[in-house]
Amino acid sequence: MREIKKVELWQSYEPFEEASIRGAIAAKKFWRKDIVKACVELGGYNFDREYRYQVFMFIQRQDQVKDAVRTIIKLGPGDIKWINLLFYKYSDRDVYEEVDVIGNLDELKFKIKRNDDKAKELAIKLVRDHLKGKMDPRKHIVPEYDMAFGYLLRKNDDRVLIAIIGYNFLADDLIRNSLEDFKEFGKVVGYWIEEVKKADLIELEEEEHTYTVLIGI
Amino acid sequence: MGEGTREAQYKDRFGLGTPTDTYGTQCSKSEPLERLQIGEYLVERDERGYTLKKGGLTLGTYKEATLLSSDRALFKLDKGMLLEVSPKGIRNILSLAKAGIIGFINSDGSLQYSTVQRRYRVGFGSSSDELLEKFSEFMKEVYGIPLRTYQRKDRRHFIELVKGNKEIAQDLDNYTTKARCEWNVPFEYLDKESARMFLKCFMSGDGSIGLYKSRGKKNPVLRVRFSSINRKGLEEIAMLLRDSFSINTTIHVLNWGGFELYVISQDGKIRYIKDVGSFKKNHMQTIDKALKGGERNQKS
Repeated sequence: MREIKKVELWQSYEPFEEASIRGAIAAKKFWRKDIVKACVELGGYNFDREYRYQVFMFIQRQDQVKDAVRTIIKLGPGDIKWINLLFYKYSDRDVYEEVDVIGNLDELKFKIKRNDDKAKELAIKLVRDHLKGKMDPRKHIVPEYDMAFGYLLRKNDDRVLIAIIGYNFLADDLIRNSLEDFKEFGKVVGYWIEEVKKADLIELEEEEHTYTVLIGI
Repeated sequence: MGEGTREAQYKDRFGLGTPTDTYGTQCSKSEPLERLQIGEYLVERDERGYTLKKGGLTLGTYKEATLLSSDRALFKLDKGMLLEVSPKGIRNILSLAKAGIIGFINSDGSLQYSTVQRRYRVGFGSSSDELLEKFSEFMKEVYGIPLRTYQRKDRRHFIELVKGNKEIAQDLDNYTTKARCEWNVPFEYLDKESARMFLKCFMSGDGSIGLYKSRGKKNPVLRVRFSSINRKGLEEIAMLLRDSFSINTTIHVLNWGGFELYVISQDGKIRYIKDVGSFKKNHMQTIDKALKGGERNQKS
């Protein structure tokens, strides 16, 4: 993704009212001839529902920025931490276009399971390296990590991408909670998930029958 | 604003009287009721309060002491500050309530202090009633001003406490950089107690304490972490946890923006929930469950 311009509209120490005003000013200033679309990006925490999240709301015209910022603030659950405005040229692909789209919820759950298997494989290697030959092969390895997955939404012509970040072992709760929390952003037209490829060891806890391995992916 | 005399209002707000003109009145020569030596400092108590002296010189007089022992004394100053006297020297530290305000502002709060734009505002927003109540209680204690609850029309399930006040914003700006850039930990104004309160309030806003039963595990795992987009701030939290509470942590960079500070080792997590904790209702329920579970395991 190569957004040509990223404008920081709002941070958590500022009043919400500032965000949409700054959005309109930024749009006027930076939306030039070569800009074909923009995206309002919001980052927030919703720890009561066990996740952090990001929302990417895409817009096609300069005059839509102000309303998009207001909408994203109104509908964003939990505590909002930052809001940015991203501008794209014709040749730039956005995050919505870059994710591998998964067609349905069952397939998403299958991919979560596949990620867990890969995480376990990586966790075994990390435990082996960490304990240097003292690893008990009879013990179960339980990998824990922050998974990132989400939804592609549509509301009329508007495209929205939601990213949900939370513990892998809470996957079912995260899906249920987030589908409910973000339903007003639009209709789900696809799912996506970040593939587990590599891992760093954050913490290893050893118990009688298990190694619990907290990894960063 | 307020009722009563200016002096009474001042007393009510800051716990102090206004300076009174004593010119021409006879100096009191009564013997102090109590004397206490703390290193090079001498504290004398009489019926009017406390006098702090060093090498025969009077450094100040204080109406109220919150702690008085042979190795440390704390005297109440205005706006939620305390004067700490110890054999090492004297310094100003944050009271518990003020440390709590800074912790809340650094997590889910906001602070505007701009002399150029003439904007002076303190705010705290949350969907948790218990945190809003705690912040309001602390603001009342420190500044004597109750905050107005504001149900935002432009946000769902979100209540804000806001106060536009130059004096308060200016005062808070001395202890957190939040109005100018990313927040910081006010190390030089914290003792162990105020550090505990600062961490507790920061955790209530931007932390998570969970007890999770993950797949394939016999016992639930306790997870304690802080989240922020401010890496330097989290590193300072890590330092405070390590130096004040011997709690070790590790920082993890998130692909989707921001950072997590994990408390590591079971001992560290138990120490955190016992020694520091949180004001958030669901954190407190988890802490209760985790401690009860720990006791049960010990008994069996």
